Amino acid sequence: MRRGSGAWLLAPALVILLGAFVLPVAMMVPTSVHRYVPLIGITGDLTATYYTRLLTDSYYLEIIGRTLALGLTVTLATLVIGYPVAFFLARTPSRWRNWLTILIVFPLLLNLVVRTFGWIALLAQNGLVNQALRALGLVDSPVKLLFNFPGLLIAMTHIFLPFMVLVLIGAISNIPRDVEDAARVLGASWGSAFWRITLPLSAPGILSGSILVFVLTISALVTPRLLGGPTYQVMSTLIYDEFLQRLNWPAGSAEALLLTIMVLALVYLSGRLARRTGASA
Amino acid sequence: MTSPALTVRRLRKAFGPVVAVDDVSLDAAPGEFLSLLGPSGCGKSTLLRMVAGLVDPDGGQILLADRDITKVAVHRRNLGLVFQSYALFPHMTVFENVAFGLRRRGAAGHELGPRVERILELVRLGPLGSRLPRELSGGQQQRVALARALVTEPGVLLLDEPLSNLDALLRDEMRVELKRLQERLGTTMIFVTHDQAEALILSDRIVVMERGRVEQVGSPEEVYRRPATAFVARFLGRANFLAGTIAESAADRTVVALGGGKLSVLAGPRAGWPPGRPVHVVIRQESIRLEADGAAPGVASGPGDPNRFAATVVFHAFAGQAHHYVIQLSDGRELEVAAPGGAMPLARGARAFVTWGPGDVVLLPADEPAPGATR
Repeated sequence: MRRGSGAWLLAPALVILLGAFVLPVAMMVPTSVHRYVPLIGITGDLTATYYTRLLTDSYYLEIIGRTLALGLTVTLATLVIGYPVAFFLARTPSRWRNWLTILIVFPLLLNLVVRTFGWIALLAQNGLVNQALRALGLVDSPVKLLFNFPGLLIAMTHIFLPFMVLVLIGAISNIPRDVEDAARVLGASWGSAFWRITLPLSAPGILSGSILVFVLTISALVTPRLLGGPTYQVMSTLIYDEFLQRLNWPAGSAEALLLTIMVLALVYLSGRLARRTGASA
Repeated sequence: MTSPALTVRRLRKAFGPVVAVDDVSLDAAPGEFLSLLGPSGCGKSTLLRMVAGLVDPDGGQILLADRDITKVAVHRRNLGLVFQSYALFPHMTVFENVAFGLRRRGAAGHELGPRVERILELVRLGPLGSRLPRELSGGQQQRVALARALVTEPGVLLLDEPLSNLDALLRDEMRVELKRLQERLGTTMIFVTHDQAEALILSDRIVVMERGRVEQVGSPEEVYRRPATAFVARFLGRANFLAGTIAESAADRTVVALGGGKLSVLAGPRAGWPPGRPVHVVIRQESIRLEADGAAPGVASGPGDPNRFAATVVFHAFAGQAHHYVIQLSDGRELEVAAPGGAMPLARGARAFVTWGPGDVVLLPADEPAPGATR
């Protein structure tokens, strides 16, 4: 057999990546700098207007800010809810462990649209949540949970929680129990051992789980569209409307490129962060 | 007599139907090096982890210098524990690893540095304080683990197979180092191992365990030369087991007729063992002297000596320190013999004589489970 680096094994993936990702994105670059005139289409005029308005117009800035805020809060929420679950599943000697893990993954097997409609039924003015809140006497008038930030936060936290939990289970299972036991014998209480040993050693998992959920959240389309309605926009719904409703491909391209750059920058920065801190684990 | 550094009373632990530790009692004197020796699964590690507080006992008591710590939380026991895997904190430097226990005990900042430095000097890691564990060799990591456990001056240091992950050469080196460290610091150490050579070399006393029970407690010499059970005889060193019955029990000697009736073995006196009692005759490999037939007169033995048998060499191998032989006696039974490596080897098929002293013969009651069945 030929001795080599085995790089050719990457070829199929590279071809797909090139054809399905790099090329379309690259083709958006020229599109994004041409002026679009309604009813005429993309003209030959060069312009940077779609970029400048993205970064100056308060309408677009609000959408960008909202998208980032949503990504950040969903990531934090899945982390806070998911870590204890993952910790339990990684550490329990219970024979139910595999079943519980399947239960975590199960929502992923359901169609995303179905799950999102489920949330509409729950969060609507007359939905289950509001009925329950009123029955308990906690609120007088229904709380608005659709077409706004809390609604998206709740639904997307639920939808992306399994990803966080699965990544964290892997990371936490990789921490040797001996290391925690050593900390405790050395005089650390359970909490102290967790804070000083377990949590720092699960940092790589926290980081990759967070990147995954963040990227999935800011690029999600179906859930924000259905739960946000036509007016409560995030970047992905904006891009969708630009391309398919307003047919303004140049503007859509500029917005899509900005989203891509944001994701790539995040992945790059977190990679550097991992090398500096988490790599020791 | 001073009170023991550690006392374990009737400690018991079962995992489901499996009884891991079955009513074990023992104590360790201050400054003693006590080994728990046994095959894997004998309960020695579980016993150690119960003492450390990492496993809750089902019953029994643990006393540290007369203080009952059975219900005391792990982190308040003031014990040291060295793991087989070292269990160093991978995200902390060597210095921080060692300082961890001191910080948890609220050691003042100004004494922290010197104490860590001193213990790192002691385990010969002086200049490596700023390294991360993964940048160290296995032996160095082991020394960090030792330093980390010792720096808090624990009442008792527990060691769970600490040398098993090292290669043979390093293991020998660390053994010596560990023993010298113990003598120097005077720390009471409880050492879990499945390696009988390690236990013999290091220990003041050895606790031989099997199936959750203590088989024998004694000095290395005692457990090696006077094993109390077939299991102990089998587990420490290589021994020949011969089935027989007591033919004569006198004040100065015991005669055992070996199965088949043609040969008999002379052993030391055994009061209260009546003739007719079935026994195992245990003779260590290296207790047997082997000499060529027709060797120069005047050497070790003559025809009149007890326990002198004609034999034929059926197998020979050289193992450096020793020659290993399998010899066959006139009644067809085979014995394993270890002769000093410097001796002239006997070839396969050579005619020879084997002898051993009556004092080297260990008699064990034959109602013990047969050797081999215990493993």
